[in-house]
Amino acid sequence: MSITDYWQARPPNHSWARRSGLCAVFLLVVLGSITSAFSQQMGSYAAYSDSWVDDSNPDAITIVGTGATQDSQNSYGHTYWVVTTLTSPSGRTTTATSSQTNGYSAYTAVETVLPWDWADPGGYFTQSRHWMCCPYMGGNPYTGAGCYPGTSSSSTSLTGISKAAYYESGGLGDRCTFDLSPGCNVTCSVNNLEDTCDNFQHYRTRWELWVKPPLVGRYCTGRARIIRYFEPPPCVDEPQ
Amino acid sequence: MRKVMILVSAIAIVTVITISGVLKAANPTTEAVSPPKASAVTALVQSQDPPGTIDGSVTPQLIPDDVAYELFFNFFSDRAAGERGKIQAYCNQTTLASVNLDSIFAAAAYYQQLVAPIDAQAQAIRDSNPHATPQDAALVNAQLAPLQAQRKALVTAAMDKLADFVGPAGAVAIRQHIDGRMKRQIKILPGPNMPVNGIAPGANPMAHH
Repeated sequence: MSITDYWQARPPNHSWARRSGLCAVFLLVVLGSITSAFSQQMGSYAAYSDSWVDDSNPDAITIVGTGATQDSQNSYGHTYWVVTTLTSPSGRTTTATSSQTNGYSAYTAVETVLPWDWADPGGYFTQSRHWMCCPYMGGNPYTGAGCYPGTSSSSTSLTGISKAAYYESGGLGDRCTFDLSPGCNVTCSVNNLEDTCDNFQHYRTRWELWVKPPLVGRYCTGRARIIRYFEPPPCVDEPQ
Repeated sequence: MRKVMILVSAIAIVTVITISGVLKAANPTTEAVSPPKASAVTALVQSQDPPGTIDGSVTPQLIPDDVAYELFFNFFSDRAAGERGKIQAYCNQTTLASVNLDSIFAAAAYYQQLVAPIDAQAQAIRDSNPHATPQDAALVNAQLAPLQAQRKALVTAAMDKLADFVGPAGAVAIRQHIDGRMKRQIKILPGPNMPVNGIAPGANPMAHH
């Protein structure tokens, strides 16, 4: 029998493959055990940011940014806190830091506010940095050593101004009535308004703050200011 | 034989890569900043989230209901009377506009009342443990596991009870708010990995207890 004949006649022998396969499975099991022993994950936690317009006080409208960290099963005694920064479209900022918590049901939150500025409409950006200290990793919440920001979360409140145009339509005494200019179609407006008469300025523009949160579209706050004009004012939403 | 060699080499390479990755994850680079200093952070920074993070802005459907509802309840809990206007303003700008605010406050208080006893029990178990080694932590975890399951069931009960406080339409509005707004602004972060050799040098795990 030639060598070629031998190899052709030889029944297939998969023992080597079986052995190496078993070996691979064994190694993978060992590897898995080592990995799981090394990488015991210490729970999980939730990070959250949100923002809105607080128009409850017409004389002090504010934008509110909030950040929260929540670990409802804080078995490992992690300490959490959150640092939230709110930034206006023009770059005004405010920052606040929450209290620290390491309770089993850990929840900490902070709110920070910016006063509303009619000259500063657009996107108000809230960003929170969620800090944590792990005692098993040398974290010390008193000194900050070994503590680190686990993540950041964010939220944006889009604000805008409806600028509606009005013309003088009548008056009684020193009080005049102004009607919405025909064709003036903005997000937030009223059909007519009253204001003190002015012999020179027969037009008015009414600015109303709106906010565009998720799901509900533009929300008219009802908070407005009235400005006198010599000539027909523009009718526009800013931003469009 | 050559195939066996290749197979073993491949496994060895994978092993080295995996272990080095695990060790790196167990000892992440930390930014040691004390809380007061942290408050001065004003720069807008983008964090690099660890592997396993669920980002609700990308996959809101992966944010668990119980986590989101707990954040909702916590948001409305323990509010001072002076905050009412601010919270009503928040509701007005969401799908919660038609939901009675006092009813939401009541539902949040009910949730707190439900979980308080089990949280106190769990806190006692955790605090009675020395927290000295990873083995201690594993032991505490084993003790807390049944309580964690019970707590989750209580959160579900509080969610189910919502309609009793705010009515069926209110419960739907809250569901819309949570799914459509809150979950998109939530991240779930995996906790850090337990260090291989237990507590890192200089650690004082009981310092804050």
